[in-house]
Amino acid sequence: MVAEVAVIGSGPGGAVTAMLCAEAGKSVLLVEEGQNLPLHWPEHFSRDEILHKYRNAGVNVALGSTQIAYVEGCCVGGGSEVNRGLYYRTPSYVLDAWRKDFDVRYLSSDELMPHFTECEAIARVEYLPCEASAISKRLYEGAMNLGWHAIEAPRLYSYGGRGGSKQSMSETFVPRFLKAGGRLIADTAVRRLSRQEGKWRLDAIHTPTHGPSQTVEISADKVFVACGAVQTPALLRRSGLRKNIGNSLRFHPMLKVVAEFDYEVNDPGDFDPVHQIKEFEPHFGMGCSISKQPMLALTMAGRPDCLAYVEHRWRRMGIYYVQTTGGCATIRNLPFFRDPLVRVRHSEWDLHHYAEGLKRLSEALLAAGAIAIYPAAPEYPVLRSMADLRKLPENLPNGSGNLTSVHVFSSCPMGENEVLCATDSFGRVREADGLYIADASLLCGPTIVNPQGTVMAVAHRNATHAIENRFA
Amino acid sequence: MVSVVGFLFATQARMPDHLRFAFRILTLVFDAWPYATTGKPFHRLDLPRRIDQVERWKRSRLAFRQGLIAFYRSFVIFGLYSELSKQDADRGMRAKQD
Repeated sequence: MVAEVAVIGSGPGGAVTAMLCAEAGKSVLLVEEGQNLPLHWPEHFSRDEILHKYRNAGVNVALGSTQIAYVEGCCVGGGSEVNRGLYYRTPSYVLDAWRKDFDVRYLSSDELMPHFTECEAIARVEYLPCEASAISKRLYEGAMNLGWHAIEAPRLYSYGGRGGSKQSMSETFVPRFLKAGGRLIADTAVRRLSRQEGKWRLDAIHTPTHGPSQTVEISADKVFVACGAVQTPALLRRSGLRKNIGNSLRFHPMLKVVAEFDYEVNDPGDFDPVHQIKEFEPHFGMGCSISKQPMLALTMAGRPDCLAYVEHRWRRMGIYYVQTTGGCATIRNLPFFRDPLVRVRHSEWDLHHYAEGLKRLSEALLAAGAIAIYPAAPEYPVLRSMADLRKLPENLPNGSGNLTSVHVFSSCPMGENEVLCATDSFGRVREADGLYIADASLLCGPTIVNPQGTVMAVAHRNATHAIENRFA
Repeated sequence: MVSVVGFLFATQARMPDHLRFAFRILTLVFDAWPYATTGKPFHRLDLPRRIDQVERWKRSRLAFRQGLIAFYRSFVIFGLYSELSKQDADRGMRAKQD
């Protein structure tokens, strides 16, 4: 297969990039490892969705003395298909730090604003048009009772029509890409990149759901790698590109709790929760998770003695989380294995903030009227009062196995600081002509807020820059 | 629609290949563990002895034993409650139709 531009990965970074290149008149091939499935099938947050739309069925672990279990999407639309779509523009203090520490040029809030606006015109961002769910409001009320700053977050969601519709990539940028003449090939994993006679050659394997695998060769003048913050560095390292690649993967690690109230708060018909506590950012933030019965059971899995409560009292229960910025990981390929090894380490500062965040979250939930709080970390006791909180440890015990993350980024940071950065300020891989990175790998560090808006805006900025400069 | 066991097999088949390799070996070790004392592998033990072995591995000081049990426990619980939750929803739907 031949194209002027090949984009590997159709998540928020890849879909935005592919659409812009196609609309600029380029011949574009969008290559996606996962399947091309409808947004509403399988059911959101179901067992089948995990099997069909999550990479490795959601079983990904950053190994270390304190592990982090993380998830990534693996289907057309990538993570945007499986997340809740909570949306933020990047806080200006985050961009300021990236400019200062990584020497990223032209990345102020003002310079990024047109790209946010353009993306938001295609993928709609809306606030709930009605009252939020009781689970969501409890967190907000807890924060208000303590005098803490809390907000309702908007979502990439169009609430019009029956039940509304999530503004995932498969509903927004991918259809526009196809309308502009772009070609999409799903079920196709790129294994290696190489440079031959002035063009990039992509060695891939096409594995349709029904039918045998076959090898595919793709030739392209320019290549954008957007496979996600773990797979992008893995692919680049397999292809012999290693400078500052895969050395600095970051997370938004979460600790979850189940809060029980003495009245019903959990109605399966409710919209997804949207309230978040901002009082302690940038150190940690807090929010509500999807609290379906299977999710509640999973969060309580480390407490078999309390698991039966889920069956009988789940309508009185909700899942809440504290999200921090700890942990830094490396990504390395292993001989004879396809999947890369991710190893994470945490500082004392990280462990302290996990513990402090858990305490503060519990404080907010008690202030909201919770009668019992069950931390997912089984080494923590069930919490019923402020006196219980005062007995909690100062640091998260090393080896606690309950950190999870739905955000991974920063494995190939952008910027002019050549000691730290894998690409220039616009995502061009150094010493690799015509090769770009276009996903969350480029972010220089945690965004503190949900990162999808940042990934889309940075991809839009970088692709626009490449097109305007004729990929020079 | 997959059963809980089917979900577990499907999850195992999709997990990162280096972890899958390690888990397969550990699972075989887990199954063979009671052979020396009972002459039977785990899957041929009666229920009380199976529960006893799971409890011993869960409380073990060795991280790999705990990790194996935690993995199976988490995915079995999620798979089981997904099925229960779906049955509840189906019953609710039928009741509405009646």
